[in-house]
Amino acid sequence: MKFLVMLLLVVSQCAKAHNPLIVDIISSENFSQRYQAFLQGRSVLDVTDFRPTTQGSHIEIIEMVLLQQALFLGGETREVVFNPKPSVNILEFTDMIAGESLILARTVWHEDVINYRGSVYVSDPVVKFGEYEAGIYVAKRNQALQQTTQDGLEQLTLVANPRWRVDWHALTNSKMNLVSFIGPWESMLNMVETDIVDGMLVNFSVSESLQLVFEGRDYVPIEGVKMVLPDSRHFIVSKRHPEGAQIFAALNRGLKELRRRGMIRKALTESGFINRKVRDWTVINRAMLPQESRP
Amino acid sequence: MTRPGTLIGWLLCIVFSVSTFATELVSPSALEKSLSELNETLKSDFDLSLLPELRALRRDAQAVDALEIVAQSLLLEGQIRQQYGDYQQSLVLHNDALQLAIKRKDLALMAQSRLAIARLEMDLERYNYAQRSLDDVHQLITQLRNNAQKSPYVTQRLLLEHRLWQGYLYVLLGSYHQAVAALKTDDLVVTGAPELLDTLLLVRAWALLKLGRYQQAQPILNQVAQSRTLIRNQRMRLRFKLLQSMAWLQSGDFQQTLDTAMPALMETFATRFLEEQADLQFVMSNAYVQQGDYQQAHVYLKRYALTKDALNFQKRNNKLLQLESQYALATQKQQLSLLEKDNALQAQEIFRHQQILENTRLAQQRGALLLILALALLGFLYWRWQNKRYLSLLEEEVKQRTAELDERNRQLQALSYSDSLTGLHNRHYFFSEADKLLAQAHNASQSTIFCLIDIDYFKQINDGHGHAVGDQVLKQFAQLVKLELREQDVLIRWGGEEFLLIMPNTETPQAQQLIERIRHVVAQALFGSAPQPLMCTCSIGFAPYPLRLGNGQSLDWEQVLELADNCLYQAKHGGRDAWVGLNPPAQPLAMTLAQLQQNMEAFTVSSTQLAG
Repeated sequence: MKFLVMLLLVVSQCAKAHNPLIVDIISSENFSQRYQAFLQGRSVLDVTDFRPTTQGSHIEIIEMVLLQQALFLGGETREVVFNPKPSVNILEFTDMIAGESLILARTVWHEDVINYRGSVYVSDPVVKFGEYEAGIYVAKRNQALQQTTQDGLEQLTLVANPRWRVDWHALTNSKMNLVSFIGPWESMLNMVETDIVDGMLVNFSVSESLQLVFEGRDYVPIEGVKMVLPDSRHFIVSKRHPEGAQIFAALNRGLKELRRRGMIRKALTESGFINRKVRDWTVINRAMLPQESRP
Repeated sequence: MTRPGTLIGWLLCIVFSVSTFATELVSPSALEKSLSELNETLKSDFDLSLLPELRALRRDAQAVDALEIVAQSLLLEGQIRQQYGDYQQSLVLHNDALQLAIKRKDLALMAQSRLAIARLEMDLERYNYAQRSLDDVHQLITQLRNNAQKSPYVTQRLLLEHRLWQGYLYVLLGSYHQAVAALKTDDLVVTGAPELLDTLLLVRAWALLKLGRYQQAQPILNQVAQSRTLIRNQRMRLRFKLLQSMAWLQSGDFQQTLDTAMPALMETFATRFLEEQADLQFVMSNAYVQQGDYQQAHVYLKRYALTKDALNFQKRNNKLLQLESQYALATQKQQLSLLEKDNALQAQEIFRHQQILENTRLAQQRGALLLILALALLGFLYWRWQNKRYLSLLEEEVKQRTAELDERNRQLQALSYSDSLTGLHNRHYFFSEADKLLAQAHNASQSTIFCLIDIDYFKQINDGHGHAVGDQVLKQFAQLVKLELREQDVLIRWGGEEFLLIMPNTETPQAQQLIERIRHVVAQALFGSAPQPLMCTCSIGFAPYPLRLGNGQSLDWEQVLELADNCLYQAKHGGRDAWVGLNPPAQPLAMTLAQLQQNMEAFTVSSTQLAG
């Protein structure tokens, strides 16, 4: 009898291995290469060191790792296969609502899915409300701007994309002036470079000096101040998908376990997403934080 | 006939004025009542037909100087205008109300006006300005709390209103946690403002739904569902239904969502509540899509897009107009300031010119003054010069005249002191010079001899030969005698044919010799003219001066002269052509003058004595 059980388990494992878990991912993000570069041959489940191996923020890679670890911890041991999809579809959540897509490899802003809560499961937050911080990046050559004091912020003009609602909300809750621009991120950097605006909100760079290098041009954050992006980020799982409930249960269980182990915090911190260097910097839009989570 | 007519006229006048008085004097309480009625009606549905009534009310309030009612009516009209997109005029009205409140120092009214402005700014999406206004309101409320005069009810109500609009602003800004925290009613007891409370609850539910907390929003919605406000106020009803449908949507009850949203959406047609309409359409499209009814979802998404488009169009236009008017105002101000600057520059230029003119004028004045001074100085100098010249001329003239006068005086003196015939000094000369002459004699160790010489028988010469010969004789006699004299001797024509010879520093013997020589020369000389020469003699008497008598008395020259005359007389008496002189002893004579005169002979010497 014992042998039979063992046999069944092995068979089921084998069956699972042949029936991989499909996780949708945005095709435009060159995930595969960066993902492999990050793993450096490590098994994804063994990753406990989240320190970056490449320049730039790589939260999306961390999320891919955390998702797999959570699923596994939650009991979902099948192999995860990432399925690239055009971003247009993904952000409409149409496939997710329809049950054609089970799960996304990336977390989403909570605000973006509140109307779809009837159709998607929303996981516990990976990035909690208030954890997502960004700096006000200005052109490095502009020495005076880098030293802007909190009082001087009122004089600044930043470019922001109103479609990035969370960024927009963060900035509208500051006294800085805004230029609303809907277009490529690179154009926004160019606007900073050409002094059309003074700066823009950018995730803190993982580099030692917090310096952001783009196309040979350097950008640095205004020292001493940071902004909180006022929302939490979550994984979502389709409710209508046959496996949705099961996967969500596993995912959330695993996330809870990871959270309990401090792995999520570790991952975010080590990866530089939560940047230790700016820990003591003043949060400009501190008032937006829920009272209980204000520092 | 006229008297009854006038009386009727008076009566009519009185009746008319009384009725006018009655209509004018609307009591403030009545006004307040109709204001609150209007307020209620307007707030439930901003019906434009009530606007004339509101304006009439304001006029009445103005008539009785009920400024608070005026301000309230301004705020109401401002809110109506705001509802219909006339942001600019709305802002003007709200500001008017605020000014009235400031004038009246009515803190509550100030807070109300500021709240109205804050709401307007929110509509215009000028959130920074809205926040500033709300901060002002908060400050005013704090002041009101400290002010015991205002009823706590007003303060509580204002506080509730402040929380409502502050929370609303937070939602608009996307700061939902802040909104939820702000929209609390636990510590406030406000009765009589159910609408306000319901609005606040709805905004709170909205904030919670924005955070995806439909479970927390639902009880609030249930609470509001009981309110009568929803029956009265269409917009609130619509908002309630919208929020309820959102809550259903979030909870995943799509059918309930549609069932709630659909009638609400139908109600929005033919109203101006486009915002609610768009949101309902969006909610429905979301519900349909999640139900799998893509066709309906597409329809409502499209409708949503159209409504949103219209809404944005309206908003954008109004804001654009607002911006344009602001821009026009700014341009106008700019032009005005440019003009002002220009004016200032021109004024400066004019001032500069004036200064230059003034300076020139002053310089000219100074120049003229200097010129006048110079001329005056020149004139003065000329005058001085002329004066000096004239003075010097005068002086010269005076000098000349003085000189002339001196000369004349001298001549006159000379004339008066000299004898014109003989050219000798006359007796006047002696009288004037006697003191000087005798002073020398007085000092000298030797005496001065006074000698009187008289031409003998001169009368006969005159008579016999005529006065001309007489005169000639006198002249010749004088010249002859003068030839014999020493340098110091002075010969004076004493009168007629008598001459006085004064011989200073001469002792009697010396004098005797000289006198003798004179007598002799005269006696030897020929006088007159050649054909008839004459022989003349002279008699001479003399006496020395000074002459002291025994009593210490010194004889004066007149007495000495008198003695000389006595001597002359003796010489005449002795036969003429002789001389007699007094030769007193060296010591003073112990006798008087009279005694001396009587005993003259004892002290005299004469030519005859010498000859004998």
